[in-house]
Amino acid sequence: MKNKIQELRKARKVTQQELADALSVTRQTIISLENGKYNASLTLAHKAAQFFGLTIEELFIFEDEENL
Amino acid sequence: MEKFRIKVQRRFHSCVVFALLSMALFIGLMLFTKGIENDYFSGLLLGFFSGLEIWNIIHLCSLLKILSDEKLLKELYIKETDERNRSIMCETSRTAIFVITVTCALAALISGFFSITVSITIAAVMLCGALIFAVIHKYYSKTM
Repeated sequence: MKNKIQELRKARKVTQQELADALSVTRQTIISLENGKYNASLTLAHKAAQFFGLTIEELFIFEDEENL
Repeated sequence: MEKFRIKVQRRFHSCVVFALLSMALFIGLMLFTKGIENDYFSGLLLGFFSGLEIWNIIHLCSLLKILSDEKLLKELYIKETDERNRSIMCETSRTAIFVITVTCALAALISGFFSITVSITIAAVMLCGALIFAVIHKYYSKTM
């Protein structure tokens, strides 16, 4: 699932480690999230959206598999 | 974080109990098999329990260090609760169980040509594993 985590993180000048500490995950998870290799759980998606002051729908781009 | 600290403390106490019990078991087994002249078995016992005690001591020291350092405790908390790590462990376990089961089945078949005892032992281990899997699966089906 695509997301805007990397661009928002860079815009706010936050490092991957700082974001990982804020969301209580490892830096590897942040890297995988930004690369779109890993889909966050609802809890993590909510924490990330809260961190950036956005909604989950604004942060994560959900593409319906039927429409792909 | 306080709950996790208590969890780590419990882990520390469990390790201490485990170390003492394994030491008692080792001494008991050595006394019980005193009359038996079997170098292989004595060596196996000594090696196994030495390794176990060394691992216990290292683990206890690392737990003590973690409990005394807030930063290390937080790092351990993140490492253990990270959802990606949990997913990786879940997928790894699933694949590993399948590979181990197939390997054991092949080993049981092939060893049957050389030793019936070994073949039956491997088959018994597989059966125990299947029973344990079924029980734990039932437990998680009920609780989750």
